[in-house]
Amino acid sequence: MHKLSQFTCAIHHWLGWAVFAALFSMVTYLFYLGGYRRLLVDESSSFAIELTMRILDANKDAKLLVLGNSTVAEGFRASSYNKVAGPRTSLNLGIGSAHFYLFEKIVDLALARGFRPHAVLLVLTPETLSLRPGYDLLQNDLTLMKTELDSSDYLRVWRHSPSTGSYVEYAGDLALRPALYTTDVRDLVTHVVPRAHKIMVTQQWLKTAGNEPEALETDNQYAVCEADPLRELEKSLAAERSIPGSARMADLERVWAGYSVRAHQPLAVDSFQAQRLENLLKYLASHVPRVYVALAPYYDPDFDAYPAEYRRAFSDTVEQVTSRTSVKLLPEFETDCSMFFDTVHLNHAGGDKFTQFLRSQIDGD
Amino acid sequence: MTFGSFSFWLFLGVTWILWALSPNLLYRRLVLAGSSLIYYFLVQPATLPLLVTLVVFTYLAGEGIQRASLPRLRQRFLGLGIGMSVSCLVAYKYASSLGRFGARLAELAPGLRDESGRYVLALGISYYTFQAIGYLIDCYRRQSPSDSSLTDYVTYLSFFPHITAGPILRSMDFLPQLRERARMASPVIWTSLVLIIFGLFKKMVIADNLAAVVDQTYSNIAATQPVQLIVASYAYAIQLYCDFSGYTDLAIGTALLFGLSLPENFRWPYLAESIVDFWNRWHISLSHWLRDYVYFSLPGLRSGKLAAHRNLIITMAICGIWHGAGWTFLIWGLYHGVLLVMYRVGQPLWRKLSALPSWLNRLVAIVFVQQLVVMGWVIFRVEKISDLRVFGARLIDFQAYRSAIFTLSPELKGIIYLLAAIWIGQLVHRKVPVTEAMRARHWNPWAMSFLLLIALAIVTFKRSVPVPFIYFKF
Repeated sequence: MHKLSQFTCAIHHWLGWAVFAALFSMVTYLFYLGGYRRLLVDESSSFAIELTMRILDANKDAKLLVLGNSTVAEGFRASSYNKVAGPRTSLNLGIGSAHFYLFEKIVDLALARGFRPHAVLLVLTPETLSLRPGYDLLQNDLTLMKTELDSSDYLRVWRHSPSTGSYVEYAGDLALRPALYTTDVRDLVTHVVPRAHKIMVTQQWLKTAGNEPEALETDNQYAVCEADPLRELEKSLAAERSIPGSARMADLERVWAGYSVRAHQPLAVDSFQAQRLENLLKYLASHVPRVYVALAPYYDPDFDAYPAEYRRAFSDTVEQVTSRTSVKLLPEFETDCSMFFDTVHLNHAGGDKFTQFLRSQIDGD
Repeated sequence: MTFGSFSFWLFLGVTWILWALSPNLLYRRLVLAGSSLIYYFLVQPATLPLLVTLVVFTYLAGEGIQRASLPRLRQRFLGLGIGMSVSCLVAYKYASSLGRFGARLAELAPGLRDESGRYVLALGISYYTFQAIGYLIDCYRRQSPSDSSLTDYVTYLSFFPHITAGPILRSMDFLPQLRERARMASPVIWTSLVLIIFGLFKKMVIADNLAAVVDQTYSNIAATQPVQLIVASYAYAIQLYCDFSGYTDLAIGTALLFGLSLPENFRWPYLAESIVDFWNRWHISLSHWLRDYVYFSLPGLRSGKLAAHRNLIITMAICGIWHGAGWTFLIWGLYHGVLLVMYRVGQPLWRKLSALPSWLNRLVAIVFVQQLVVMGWVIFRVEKISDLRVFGARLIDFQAYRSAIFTLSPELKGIIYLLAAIWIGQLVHRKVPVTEAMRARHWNPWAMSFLLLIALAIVTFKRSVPVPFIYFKF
């Protein structure tokens, strides 16, 4: 009887260790070894990164990598570029809300995967050099890149951190990696069944998604001229809401969302962000033969989003930084309202024109 | 740099290594005192001179009390020390409410206003001034260790894991511990780990998520459905408890790593069977401090029941004002004072009338006390007195209940389920004390798995924007 009880105790003990080991392994695999990639859905913040990796894997012969945030994702039309320059010459790697850390890491990952591009084109929006209240640019990049982070990031984060104190917080997130997955895991555990279905669909789609990157380009034909004047848009929207089944409603809502979030925000060129840009350009220049910088086009006729003073400070800083790093700054692209589907994103026609403009500048170099 | 930030844990780690590597007790005490001052400097450099001044002044006053032989001289040292502590507290905590005088004060006192001109609440001032006063009274009553050094006194007033929100330490309990050489044994580390993880869970998972609902509701009481107001009030009761007791668990857990035992501050307060019982379970270090140093010091304690009741109400009014200069805090303190008096007066009568079985009697008492306490928290939470009137008016808008009950949002239903679960959890805890059981099971794989899951829950359900501890502003 005593032996049986000892045996049960031992089983209970070792079963406990097995459960702990299983839990520990699961956490390590999911959050530290990239296993969570298999649980991504199209709404996951890292989905765009996973898609980018698939595109890189399937198009290793591309010559030009185009980096930027959503203005590139929506506005650069690789199909238009490649029609003239040759198949798979350029790859659009634009990722919504991406910033300097993410650009550097993407290029690093591309090189590690055997990619040897001839050139990198970095498209900068004016906000990139300003700090935003209540929004942490580096933290956002780390959250987006979480499935691709590794030990090299402890050093990389140091270069992108403004102070030792902030480095400790970022490095802490790297060390305690699940902290970067909060939103994703919360959604997963609170909607297990619908999420499981979505995971299957998304993972199936991702298998071939990188093969035809041009097929992922959006085809928005709307022109923001129809929403002018932007300052009156709130009133127009109120009137439009009273019309049942209004066809313009969705477009106007989108323009308003883009306009209102940017209008009258405090913007100032931050010296540390300028330093980060310089470091990024130096890094790119040391790894890729040619680096180009272009200023992203935007529609802001009343200077509500970007005051004249800030525009001047931004372009002056970019000019100085590019001249210091021997990187070519492309001339500004002339725009009008017919080219945008909201205040910062180019529509189909605008995207084509912008892309051809960039191609002509790069080809002429 | 608080418990929610990595900087704090890095600071703690570095301090602990230095402390553990110290060759003798003197070095260990120097490490603790030095690291506490450095911590204060890192968090709020502008008010460090205030802390240092108060430390030196009250330490010297304490020395004066202990060394002086003439009673009058001892009284003078005591008066000077207490006067200095109370002046600092009034200046730095209530200056923003002192109008022109406060503005003049700001010109004289260093760090009273920040760069933008706003009044700064000196970090932990309510706690360390009370501790200084307690120390002086203990010296006067000859209850404090007579051989305490300035180094130990610095640690006593500013020990970094507890400085921002207590618990309020007693010199006779804390100072002798600094003279003992602590040994780091596995059970101590385990107990510390359990307390830290449970503290983070209470704060980051329960309190911070409830804060979202509570803050939204209380920011616009007039436009909120009465059902939501009621739910938010219960949610606030739980939020406040988890926020504050979570901090206390973290403070006790981290102090244990240095071999220091901090006093218990909470003992399942919402299971109190009377309002007196509640104050023996809620913010114990403050209620006992007020009892020992204010209530017992007020005149007329032995002059009859009426004077005792008056002293009780005065003590609770001080308790209210200790939380801040708002009228709502004063009313909250008076409300509890009146409840305590009513309990004292009515308790014998209740015992005679109650014919219920003892278990039912206890359950009724628990539920009744909970309602009284939650009503108190409504007074405590509102921004201004006029909000109380609006709150009351919304509660008696019976028309609004009919529509609201059938249209409860899924989020609100979720909160109701969570509150119910926590309530049941409290009752279960009486039979199966989870944290105590966990603390007793050193390095047990099942307990470790449970802690790992709790840690994952913290990471998963924490809010993306950190929410400051509520008691930091008191």
